[in-house]
Amino acid sequence: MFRCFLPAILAALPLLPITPASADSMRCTSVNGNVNCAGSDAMSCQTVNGRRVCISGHGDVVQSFGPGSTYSDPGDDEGLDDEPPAATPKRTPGRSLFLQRDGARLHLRTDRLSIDRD
Amino acid sequence: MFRSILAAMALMAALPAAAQETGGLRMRNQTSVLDQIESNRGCPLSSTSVTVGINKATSNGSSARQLGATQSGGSTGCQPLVSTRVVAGVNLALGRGSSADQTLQSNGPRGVLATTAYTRGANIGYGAMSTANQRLINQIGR
Repeated sequence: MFRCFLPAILAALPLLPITPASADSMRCTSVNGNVNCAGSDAMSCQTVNGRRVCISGHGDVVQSFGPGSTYSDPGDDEGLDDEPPAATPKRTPGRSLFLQRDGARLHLRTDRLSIDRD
Repeated sequence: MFRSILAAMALMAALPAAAQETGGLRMRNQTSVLDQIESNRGCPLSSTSVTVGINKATSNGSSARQLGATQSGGSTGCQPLVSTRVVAGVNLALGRGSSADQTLQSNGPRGVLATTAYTRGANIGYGAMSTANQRLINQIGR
């Protein structure tokens, strides 16, 4: 059976695109199993239950939590949740946390605190 | 001699029974939980919802937008014993200058005995100058 198809397969091989796979770089982050990736010059933002992570292909990373983000629900992720505890900062009602990595510089902002560190 | 063997056999027979009595689910407030189970008569025992979406913008300059929402809640006065909510999404902006926007939302009741929320997403902006935006919301009510 295979011998019947072999000449056809060999004949079709030159028609297949043999261009090499693209070697563009891609940056990825994973928070509690949620994956967010950005290629060079691309921008990706992912919000999971109010926890927002944005990355760009240049390596900038922004994370924000709490009321300042697009969604805030104090009632989610309880019970027998599969997610491991506190891999990211806990949200506190009425408080917000903004964390940004800009190259080698780290910015941290809360309602009362503002820290920039190289 | 015979009596000691008989006593040992009686002890061996009694041990598994004791283990069965001490096993099972430990409830924090047994009276309250039992009342809730009792008031749940005639209602569904469990509530499960699965919200899954795949959104992709493959061509150069293309735009893809997806909105998925699941609203499940018991009828009035009903609260399921076990509530399971799954939200999973894949959002891809592959083309050059493409834009992919995905929002998946699930709203459901809390279970009397157990509530499981599973939220997973993959968000990829691959093309140059592309933008990928993903929002996953798994909301458990009261």
